[in-house]
Amino acid sequence: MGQAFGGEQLSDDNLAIARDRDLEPARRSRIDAHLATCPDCRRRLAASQQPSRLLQAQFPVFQNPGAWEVFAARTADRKQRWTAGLRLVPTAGLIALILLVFAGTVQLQRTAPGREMTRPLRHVATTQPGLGPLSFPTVEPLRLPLGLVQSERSTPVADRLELLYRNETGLALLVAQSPINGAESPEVPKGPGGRTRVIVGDTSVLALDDSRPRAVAGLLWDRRDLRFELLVTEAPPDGLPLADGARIVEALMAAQDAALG
Amino acid sequence: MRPLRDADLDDQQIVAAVLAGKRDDFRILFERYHPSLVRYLTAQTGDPPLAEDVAQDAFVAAFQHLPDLADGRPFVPWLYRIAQHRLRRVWRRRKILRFVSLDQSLGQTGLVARGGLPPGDPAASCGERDHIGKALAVLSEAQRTVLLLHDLEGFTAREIADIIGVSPGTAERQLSRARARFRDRYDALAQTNG
Repeated sequence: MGQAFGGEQLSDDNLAIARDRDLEPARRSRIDAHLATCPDCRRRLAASQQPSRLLQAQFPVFQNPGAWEVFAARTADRKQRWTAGLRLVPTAGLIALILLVFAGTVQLQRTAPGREMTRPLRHVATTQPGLGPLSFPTVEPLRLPLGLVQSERSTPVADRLELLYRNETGLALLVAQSPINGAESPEVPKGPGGRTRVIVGDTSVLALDDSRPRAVAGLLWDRRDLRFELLVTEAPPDGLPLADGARIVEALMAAQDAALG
Repeated sequence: MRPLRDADLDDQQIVAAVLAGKRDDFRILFERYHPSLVRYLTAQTGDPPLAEDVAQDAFVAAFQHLPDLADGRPFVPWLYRIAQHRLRRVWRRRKILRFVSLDQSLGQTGLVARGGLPPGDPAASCGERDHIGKALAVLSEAQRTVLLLHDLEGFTAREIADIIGVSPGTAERQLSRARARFRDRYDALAQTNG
């Protein structure tokens, strides 16, 4: 397929968005001008619309007459609270002010000289609010190897932190952390393939094999009172190679050592 | 206040009316976009009841947070962004519990066979439905999302970038790759099975 634009053929990217209604006028003019004179690109454009035709035929829209009633029932009490909430704005404001003053006092006490911070400062990112502060020291690097960047943070239960990392190749990893605390170990999730023990640094790591060759679906390890679960939630075609997974584990271990001393 | 009944009103006018206190007018938005959102989620999950649940959740969240649109942002990409976020949370929970990759779960549930046209519908044969399901299943989640948002729901690359939180250039690249992979896989299956 041609990749050049302005030369012999439109690039695949330009073909993909050639019919977008919000294309910049200058780009649209260039694409349209090229299409007007290039039968080959017109054929390629028609062929590129094939998925659209197939999907539209495959997934028609169905009306669900009862859907609105379900929605109305679910939001009925919310509507009342919304309305009632407007009446309570002055009271809520006063309560919020009291809480702010109280929280400020507590924060001052926590950060006063001589008081140790119990956990490292954390990134406040595009997160779900979750359940608030966790009671155990966490490891939350903003970046990991392979260009992975932290994109979400949540605390689904009081003793579990979940961080989601993504990169431009379509790889997404969930890194979960929970305290060991001598509690019963959670059941190790069963992967689609087998399990392999690998040593990374000073730690034995359980690798859950992916169905793809030399790829892992997840990595689990215990280190310094924390249980880590690294789960591949989205992956490029070849999956996450074990060697790359080990690099990420190493980076998390280094971040743990740096954060906890 | 009299509820709006004019189907020609644009979304922003309806949002403004709801925010001004005519809350029942949200029904116009619901009836406009609920069917297509369920279609999209069905194509994503292969599970129509799950798609209905996620769509309901997304609309409830949209209704709750409608004041966020007071700045005039368009309603539909915002709604799909909420739905996408909810769907990802559902997948993540399921993966943690079952530890099965999405591609496998799609294969197991028989994606399109459950979510597509009724049996015997002339618009698509069983073989074709199967091919489309398998072709979708080879895509990564990101590719499948971009392809369905663009080619099924009609969003532009810029709108998709806003929905999934990437740059427009990234959305364009993902779309062209997704289309190429989908077509390659679909064509191979069609040739193999006649």
